[in-house]
Amino acid sequence: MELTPEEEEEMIRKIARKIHKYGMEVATILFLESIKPLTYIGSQMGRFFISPFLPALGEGIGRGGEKFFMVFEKRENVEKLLAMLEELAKEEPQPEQPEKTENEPDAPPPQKKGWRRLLPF
Amino acid sequence: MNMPNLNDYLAGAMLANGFVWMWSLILGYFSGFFTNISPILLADASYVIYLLGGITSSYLVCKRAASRHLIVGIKLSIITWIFSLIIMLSLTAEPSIGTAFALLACFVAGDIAGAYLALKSRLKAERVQTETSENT
Repeated sequence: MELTPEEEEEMIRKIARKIHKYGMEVATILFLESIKPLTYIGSQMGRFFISPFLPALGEGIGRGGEKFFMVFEKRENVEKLLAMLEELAKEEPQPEQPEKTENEPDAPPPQKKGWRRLLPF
Repeated sequence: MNMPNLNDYLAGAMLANGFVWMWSLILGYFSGFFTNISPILLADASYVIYLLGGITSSYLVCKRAASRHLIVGIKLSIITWIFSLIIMLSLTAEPSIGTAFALLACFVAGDIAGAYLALKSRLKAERVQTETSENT
C-alpha cells in the first residue's frame, strides 16, 4: 500500500480536527511532544501487534489502521500534526448547535467546553 | 529552542521541597492544635500539599520551556524527589520508604499537572494574541 503526500495530509488533518472537536489539543500536544522520538518504534510495534487483528473488525478499519501506521511512522508527520493542533488550539472551539424542539424553552442551555461536552450532566 | 537550564531545575526542586518542609514545620510548631485533628485527614492534607508543591514548581519551570513540557515535568519530579530524599535521610530520625514513595508519586502527578497547565496557558496566550492581532 502506497500513500500520496495529499492522502497523508488529509489523514493528518482529519485526525487533528477530531482531536480539536473533543478539546484534547493540550493533552495530545503534551503526549506527542514527549513520545516523538519513539514514533518509528511505536508504529512498527503497532504493525506487528495490532495490524493483524484490525481486519477482523472490518475491511475499512483494517485498511485505515494500516494507513495510520504508515503515516505516523514518519516523524515529520507527527510534527505536522503537532503544528496543525497548535494552529487549531488558537481557534475558539465551535460549540455544536443542538436541534431545537417545540417543547424546549427559549433559554439556551449553558455551553460546555472541551471534554465536558461529552458528559451527560 | 528555549529550554530550562540546570539552575531552573534546581530552583524548581527547592521550591517543591520548600512546600514539603514548610508543612512539616507547621505540623511541628502547631502540634498542640493538630492533635485534635484526625491523622488520616492530616495525611491527606500532606498529599495535597506535596501535589501543590509539584504543580507550582513544574508550572513555573515549564513556563520557560518552548516544547517537550512533559519531559521537563518528569525530569523536574525526579530531581525534586532526589532532593527530598537527601533532605529526608539527613534530617529525619526515622526515614520511611512509604513516605519516600508517596513523595515520588505526588511529585510526578503534580509535575505532570503543572506541565499540562503551563502548556495550556501558553496556547491560551497565543490564542488571545492571535485574536487581538485579528481585531486590530
